[in-house]
Amino acid sequence: MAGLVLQLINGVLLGGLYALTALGLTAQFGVMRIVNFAYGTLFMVGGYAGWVIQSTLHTPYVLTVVIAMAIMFVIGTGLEFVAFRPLRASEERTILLGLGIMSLGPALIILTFGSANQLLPSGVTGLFESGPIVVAYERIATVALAAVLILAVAAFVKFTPAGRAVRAVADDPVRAGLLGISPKPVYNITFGVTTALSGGAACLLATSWQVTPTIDSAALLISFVVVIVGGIGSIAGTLVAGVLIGVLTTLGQVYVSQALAPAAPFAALILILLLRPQGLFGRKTRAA
Amino acid sequence: MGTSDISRRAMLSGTAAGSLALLLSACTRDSGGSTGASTGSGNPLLAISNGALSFAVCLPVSGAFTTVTVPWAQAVKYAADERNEAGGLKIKGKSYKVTAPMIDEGYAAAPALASAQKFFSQGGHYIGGLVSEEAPTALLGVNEQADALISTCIVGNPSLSKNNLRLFGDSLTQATGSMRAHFAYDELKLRKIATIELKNSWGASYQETFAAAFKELGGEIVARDYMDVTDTDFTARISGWKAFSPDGIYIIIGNSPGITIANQAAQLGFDSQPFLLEGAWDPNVYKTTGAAFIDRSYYVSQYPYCHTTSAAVKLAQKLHDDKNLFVTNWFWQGYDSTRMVLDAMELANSTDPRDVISALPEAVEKGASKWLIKAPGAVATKEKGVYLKTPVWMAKFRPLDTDFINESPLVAVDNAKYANVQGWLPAQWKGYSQDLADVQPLTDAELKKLVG
Amino acid sequence: MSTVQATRRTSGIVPHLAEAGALMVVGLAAYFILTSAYDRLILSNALVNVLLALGLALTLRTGRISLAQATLAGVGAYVSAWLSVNTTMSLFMTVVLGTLAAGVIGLLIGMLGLRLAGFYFVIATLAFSQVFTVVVGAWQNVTGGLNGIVGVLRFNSVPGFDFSFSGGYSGYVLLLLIVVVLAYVVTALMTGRNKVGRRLIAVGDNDLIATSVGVHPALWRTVAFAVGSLIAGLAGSIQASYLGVAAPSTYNLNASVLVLAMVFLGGKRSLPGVVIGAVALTYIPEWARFGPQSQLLISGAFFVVIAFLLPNGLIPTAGRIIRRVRNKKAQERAAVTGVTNG
Repeated sequence: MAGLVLQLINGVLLGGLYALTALGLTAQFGVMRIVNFAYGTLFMVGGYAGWVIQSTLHTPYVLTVVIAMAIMFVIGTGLEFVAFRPLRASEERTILLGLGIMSLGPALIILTFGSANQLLPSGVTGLFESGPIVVAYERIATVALAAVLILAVAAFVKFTPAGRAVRAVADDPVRAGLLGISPKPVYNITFGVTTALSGGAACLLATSWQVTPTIDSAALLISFVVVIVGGIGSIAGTLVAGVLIGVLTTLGQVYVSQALAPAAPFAALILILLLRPQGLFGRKTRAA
Repeated sequence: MGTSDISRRAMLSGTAAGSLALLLSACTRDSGGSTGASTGSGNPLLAISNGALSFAVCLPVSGAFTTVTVPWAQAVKYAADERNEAGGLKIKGKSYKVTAPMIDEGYAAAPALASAQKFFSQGGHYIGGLVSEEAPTALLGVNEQADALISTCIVGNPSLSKNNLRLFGDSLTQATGSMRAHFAYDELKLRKIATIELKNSWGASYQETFAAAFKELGGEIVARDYMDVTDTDFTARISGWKAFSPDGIYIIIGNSPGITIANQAAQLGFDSQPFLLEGAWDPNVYKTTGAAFIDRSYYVSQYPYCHTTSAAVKLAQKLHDDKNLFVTNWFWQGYDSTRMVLDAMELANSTDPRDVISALPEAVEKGASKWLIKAPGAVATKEKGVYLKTPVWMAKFRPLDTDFINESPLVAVDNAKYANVQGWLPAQWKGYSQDLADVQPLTDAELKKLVG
Repeated sequence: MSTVQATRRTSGIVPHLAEAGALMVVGLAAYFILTSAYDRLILSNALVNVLLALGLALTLRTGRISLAQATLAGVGAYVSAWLSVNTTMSLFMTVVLGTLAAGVIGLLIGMLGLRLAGFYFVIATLAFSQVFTVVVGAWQNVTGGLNGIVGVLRFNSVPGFDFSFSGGYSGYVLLLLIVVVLAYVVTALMTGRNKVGRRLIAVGDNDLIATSVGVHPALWRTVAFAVGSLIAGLAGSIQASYLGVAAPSTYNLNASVLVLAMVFLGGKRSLPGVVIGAVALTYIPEWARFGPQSQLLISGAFFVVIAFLLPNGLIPTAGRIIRRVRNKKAQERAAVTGVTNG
């Protein structure tokens, strides 16, 4: 029983990090309606940005994350302007572009940094221990940071005029245009912010997962699952789905066959698609 | 409708007729030599093309496994260069150059097959490397059809599969499980061990042979967990061990994933327990990320890491100069296996793999003093290839600030009982003797089942 | 006369037969020019990829994208490989059963994906792909786990069907025949001058209009997907036979994505497009395997360049360029002679 509680806690904490990872993707789908196959690659680049900053400038952890996110914002906005915007009209070309970046990214990183893992320590040590429950303070701290970021995004979208503009464009870009909100800058900023968010998530996860050149596909797939299960464009959905998938994966690893555990998130995905395709918090018109 | 119809019909029938004609001509063609027949012995210059003999290195050229690729490739190159500098490979009175081309395994079956076939088409008959699980399995049978000898550590599922043209360099887990268990129990005084293994037959063989012996001694395996190379988060599995208070952790996967597991275990409070490590633990990879655990880690496998001779140090220096890398067990395997095969060629006075495989045991024995992996000989089986007599040493990892050029990343533990133990098939082989009194050799029945 | 010509040109069976015939000729020529076992292996891979791309193009024509084409090939491959190794069935039977298995799975996915909008259907196929990879890797007793199933019956080991050419892969001609026949069938369906084809195209172009004329989108999408899956299963079974092994990574998500890229690359609506896309993405990764990370760099750069330069794929772009050149010439002529082609 206590073991189960421990794993539930682990699952929820992991899920919080999954939610932050997927947050950027749900915004890209919801606001920009693009299929960005390069999302996982950009996530990975964010982690490397954090590692490079910390190993060269020796900045404290939180500052490192902030700087990494700033760098990823710049990269994101630049990439959107140069690459994704011209191809916006064609889904096929956007997919091809994403696939191209998916191959180039890891190759360039391995050539530059080698394929060994790198550490991105947070400096937070120690464990919370109570009987069989053992949780690293670092995990709690990173999840807390993730929660702050998620709440900040939610508050931004709900309460600020800029956030309302984003929501208007997400709802209906044409009508938003008629109201004087130009979609193009909204898309650009959204892509920048979501890329920055994914970079932040990568740095937070890197404290235990380490910085590796193979994390991109895992990040992309987890993000896809969480976004669909939660409902495209819904922040609450991403949070709930993230936690759900985190718990599912964790419990699956420990209590079900560990060989089949990697399939658990996708089984959940299939279930959602069968029963409620728009996702837990999504809108019905989108899905069917 | 006129001319257009006729021309279309003509085009149609023309194409059909042409295709049929080609097809028929193809059917009646003689069947030339296919890749199916084996030529057996009789062509000493079989593997010579353009005046050279090629040892292909079949490893991933792209992707993240390149830390394994480069040391093995360099090692084969060094062995080839050495032989060329000594006058080349001497067969039937003439000298031939030795080359070491790199071919892409792609870490998968289909690309490995394609690369191997390309190499065979160019006249190649010797392949080494293969780091994925799929590739060696895929080449099973193909290499025999193409008269090609494969030398490798990992040989697919099961590791004792039927393949006569194969030189296998690793020590058999079945023969060494007991030794590893004794080390953990008697030497490290461990009683409760948590294990985590790569979920495949390689991982299972290490875990099960160890567990059986450890339990017999009175120890307990408190947890058996699995992982996949794509896993990143082991928090759940590791924190689950806490309840059982293990006094040791056995990680049966190397390099990047293994380092991640060890670091996460250290983060989760396993900060004093010894780690038993298995797989490829490469100083190039753990030098920057191993600080949390390397000082209390033991390597429970082969000797190849421990380079102590001046020849070995010279090679380590060379590798570092050339590629800025430290030597690993993949390096030694590549270096020695290539030299062994070259020696066997000269002994058999032939480059035909079937002659060479017969000559290998003798060649390895004759050259015992020069092998850096210290193999005193090799065992020939009826239909499963040749196995090197690879000794096994229990070793401790040296600290991260060690000069890995002049000193090996591993140092043998200070107890002769765990040094130079025969890691190969026991019993019935000439010269076998038990150094470790309590090691249980395989029974006759088990042995027969293994090697046929 | 010109209008009659125009209709003739696009109607009936002849254009597609000519294209299929050309494919046959080119395929045979290639086989006799490239004689090493390696060259023929890659040629066979190219043909298998043409089959996969054809099946996917059919699905695409009905307005759905699939990320499971290689996975369905994997279903065919594993079923036929398992039967090959564990029973005394003939090679022919194992291939038939492998194909059918893939078709059944495809039908199931199609039926379950009935109500899903396009994007969600893609995700469903992605999820299926991942689950398949995990299950195949885990089910060691049946699938050989991460090692795969080895020892699959090879075509040249079957007496009576032994087209023995030097260099192996003697089933090549049969494979080529299969590809050509299916290419003809699929393109005929995709270009729509027959009953089934018209329905598929209606569904692909506009759901609402299709329904209004009594063509049920979900039904025809399922039909197309099931047919595409049968083709994939056939391709996978044949490939497992000439490779001699069914291994997990041959049929993973990356492989499915590559098939999609093939169709996008060449142009999804014509046989030459599909063939060129498949052949290009068989040979380019193969040629690119020479240096550190070279394959990833070249493939990646290639996709990015294609994304920017080729709006609809190679064939339509080539067609557009040719038309533009022709129009320019006609304009020049008109400017000179003062006569326009009315």
